[in-house]
Amino acid sequence: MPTSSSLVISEDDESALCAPTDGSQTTSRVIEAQGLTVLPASSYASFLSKVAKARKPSPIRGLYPLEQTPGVISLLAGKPNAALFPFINVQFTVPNLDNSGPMLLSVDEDLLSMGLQYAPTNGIQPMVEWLTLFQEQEHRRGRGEGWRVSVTAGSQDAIYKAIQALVDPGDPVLIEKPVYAGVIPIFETLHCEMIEVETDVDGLKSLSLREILENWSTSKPKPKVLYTVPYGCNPTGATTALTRRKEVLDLSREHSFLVLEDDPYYFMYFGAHSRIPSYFMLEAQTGDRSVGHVLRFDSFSKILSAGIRIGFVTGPAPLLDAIDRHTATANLQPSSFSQAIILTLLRSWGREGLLAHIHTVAKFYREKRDVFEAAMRRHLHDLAEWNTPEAGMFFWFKLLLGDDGDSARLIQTKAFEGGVLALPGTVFTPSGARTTYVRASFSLLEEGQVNEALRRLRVVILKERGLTGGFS
Amino acid sequence: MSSEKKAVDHSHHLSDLARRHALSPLKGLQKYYGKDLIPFAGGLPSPEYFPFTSVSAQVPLADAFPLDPPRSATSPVSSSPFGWLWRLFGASKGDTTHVQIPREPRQGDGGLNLSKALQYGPVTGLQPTQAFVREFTQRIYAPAYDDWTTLAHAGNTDGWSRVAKLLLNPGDTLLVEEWTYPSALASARPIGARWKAVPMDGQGMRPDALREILAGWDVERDGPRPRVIYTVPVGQNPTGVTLGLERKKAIYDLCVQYDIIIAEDDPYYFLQVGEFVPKSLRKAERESAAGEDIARFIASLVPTYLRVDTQGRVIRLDTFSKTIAPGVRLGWFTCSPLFAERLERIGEVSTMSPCGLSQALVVALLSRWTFDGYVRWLRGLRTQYKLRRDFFVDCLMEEFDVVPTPASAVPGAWVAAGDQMTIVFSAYRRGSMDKEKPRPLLSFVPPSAGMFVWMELYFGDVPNQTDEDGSVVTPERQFFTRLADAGVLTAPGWFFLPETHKTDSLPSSAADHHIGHTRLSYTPSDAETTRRGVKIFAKTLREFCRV
Repeated sequence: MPTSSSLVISEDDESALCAPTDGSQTTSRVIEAQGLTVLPASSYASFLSKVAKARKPSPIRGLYPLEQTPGVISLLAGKPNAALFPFINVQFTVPNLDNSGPMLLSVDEDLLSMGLQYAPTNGIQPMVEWLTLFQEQEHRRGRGEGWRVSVTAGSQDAIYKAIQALVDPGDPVLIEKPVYAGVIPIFETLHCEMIEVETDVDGLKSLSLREILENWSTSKPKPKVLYTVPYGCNPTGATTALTRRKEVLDLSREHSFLVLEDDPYYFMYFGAHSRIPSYFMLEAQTGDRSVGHVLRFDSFSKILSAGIRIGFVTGPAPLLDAIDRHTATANLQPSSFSQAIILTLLRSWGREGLLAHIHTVAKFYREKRDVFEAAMRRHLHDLAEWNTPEAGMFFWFKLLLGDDGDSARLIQTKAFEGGVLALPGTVFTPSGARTTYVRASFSLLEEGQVNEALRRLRVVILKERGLTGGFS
Repeated sequence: MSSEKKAVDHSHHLSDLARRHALSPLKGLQKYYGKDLIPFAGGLPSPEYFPFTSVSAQVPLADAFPLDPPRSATSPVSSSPFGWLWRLFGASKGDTTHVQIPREPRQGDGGLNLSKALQYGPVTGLQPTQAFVREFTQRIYAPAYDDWTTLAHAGNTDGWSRVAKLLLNPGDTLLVEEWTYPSALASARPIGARWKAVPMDGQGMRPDALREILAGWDVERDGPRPRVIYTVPVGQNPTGVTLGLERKKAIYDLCVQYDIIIAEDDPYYFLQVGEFVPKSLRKAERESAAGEDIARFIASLVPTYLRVDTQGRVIRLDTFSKTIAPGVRLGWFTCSPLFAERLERIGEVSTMSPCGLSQALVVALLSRWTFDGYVRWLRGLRTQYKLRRDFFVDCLMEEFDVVPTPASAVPGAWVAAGDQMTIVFSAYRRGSMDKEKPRPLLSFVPPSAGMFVWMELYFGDVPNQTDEDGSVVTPERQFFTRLADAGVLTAPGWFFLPETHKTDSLPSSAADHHIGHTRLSYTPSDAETTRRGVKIFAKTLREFCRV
């Protein structure tokens, strides 16, 4: 791709671009000031699934923007009259950030009205604007880099739609090993070939990824997407190191795949070191600085509310367009009512307030992690192996049950009977292969419960080992 | 119980995709919770740091909207005969009340608390939501079989898109009304389904036409036998017609005979406003007293397909979008247990549960009103929609000379020859009735339910035009653009045609470009704006048709 920083190109004038010198099929737009190269919209045609390409915009929703034209009378949509909405005023209390007692917030009348009515598919405009600004600041990205933000009904919804937009039945996809169990059914119903990339304490192993791609058979198309949870990976708890991320981005450019950065625990980082930049941030800063390979999924589920079903996806406009076209005919729009309430909170806090809240949340989870780890050391020091997570809410530990150990069997029978329930690692591999790994969540339990639970687990494991003759 | 009427086994109707949905392992754990079990299996975040400590809303009382329009004679001074209407539109009684959702659970709160609502919740809806919709379905719809079940969804678009995934395989044919809601087709298209339009008339989908299609189906020529009907039977979108009980029975019987599932998408069910009566004939009817019981209310509504569903063939979609507000994204399915379980599986890897906060506030509101209160609210709402429907049609009748005509006498009307029942309102330019052969500019059937007036437009000899890229621009499209430029947005007929490559399956009235259609919504604006909109519409049409 041409990366000449002396070239200034207008969006409409792609024909004026120099021919690419590296023989690639795409031409790009250069943002002179930053020296970034933006993947042009046309290049996403090769990423979009057949289903995505066949989706047509919703004719009625497509006209919604025209309704905003001053003076227009719209008889277009079956919108109920706002005077008939039975919520006149909505208020809520939140703790003051300085702990001085509860603060009462009221949803602004116009915002409430907007929230109760049918709203744009990608979110109510002030919410989209707030989130866009937040992303700019958080990930040091600018406007005009080809990306935008859409609000979704939770990030699970966004991931589901992104996968439908990018993956054709039978396609190969790159996933971490082990992988978040909630995406396995999505890939399975598409009959995907799930290519597992090794991981370790530093997260995704870029070397493993490189090997897979460099040894890819030329007779079949390469995978177009990599799905990764880079912070507090579910289930391993690992956070992908900076060098690894840079290598992944280089590989994404070299082998032309998109990085689906699923980051629900991004705000739940409590490591000792300063925060590692997101893929979305890094793509503008490292390697050849060509942007447009990252599709990022954010969630408020862990820090504001899981039940409120509000998440947001950030990335190249053509990909978000495909997701939005799906939303328009799938669930129409994320709840604008929830958005109005959440936006009221965000406006009251501002970015600073949100970050302060996040800081408190992260601290809370660090303390929980410490309690859990102390209990692990106390009860399972000789019976399990683990790495300490620096983000998220999960401990991923390997029970020392011997070669034919099976954590699933243990949990579903002995552990359950023994009064403790953890999640066997087998659910996190597509093949469901036998494993001795276990995922435990440290988010909810009090110290006493954690100790009791791990004490019980110890009892169960010892009994199991006793029964099966014990191992070294 | 031997007398219990259970849904027939419909497992053969499940799509391949629906069969493949395995229980998400994370969700399957929920059954283990409880007892003396310490779980750290789930990935639930700690609600301790969800910042909301309480949520409350100021809400109207259930009887906020009157059941009857006030008598205009006693209205305060207004120069316009519609003055009282302008005040009445949306003018509720001032009394309000509060609902509040506290954070912590309390004895007897029915599960309505933030610690539940803000946390990941069941895909099928929070327990209070489930309880409400179940009772509502039982009392209002009384399905004709016994093991029906309900589960929440995030609005009817979410509902239908899940049903489409549940039932349709690539290559399957979906039966739809010949004018239909485009979004429903758009949900089915990516699955690889096709559709077949079933002719309709002023009373809705025609059973005789449906029978003809089903009896004449040739698997080799037409593909797999159709197994699903998608229908909006009340205040049909876009035509505004309503399918009565007799038709529902007839169509249901055909579905039994031909083994078809009915997807009943019914967002306008409670907007059944009754037959339109022209202003001059309108009496100041009094609605029954406010104390009217639920049975009378139900009797005043056209029954749903659930009423005749003896075999569990109906998957009904209810929504709060038009009765509470669209932004809350909440509704529910009523269907057989087999379908419910699969619909839940399909939902749990995508949108998951409907928004917990919406659920909590809506159910708190409904609990405050009580069931009877909600019925009162629905009746008040109905009056509001009736007033708006009447006002809109009155405005049309001010702009045109309108003549009620039997359908059979209106040439080329979409309501179709053979429709003996429907009265069509034909509209002529004012003062043109004394001409020798007055030509109608448009015709419509005033809707008895829903939010739309569906019009057939007669463009006379306005010719087609050709676009820069060579495509044909029909008078319908030209008029739509002309009207938009004049400041009025409408939904033109072509939005609602099931796309098809064969012109012989277009409604006959759609094949003739001298005739166009438009759907006008009479709900979103205030009276003044609506009136202005209708005036602009009429003027633009007259100018466009050069009449």
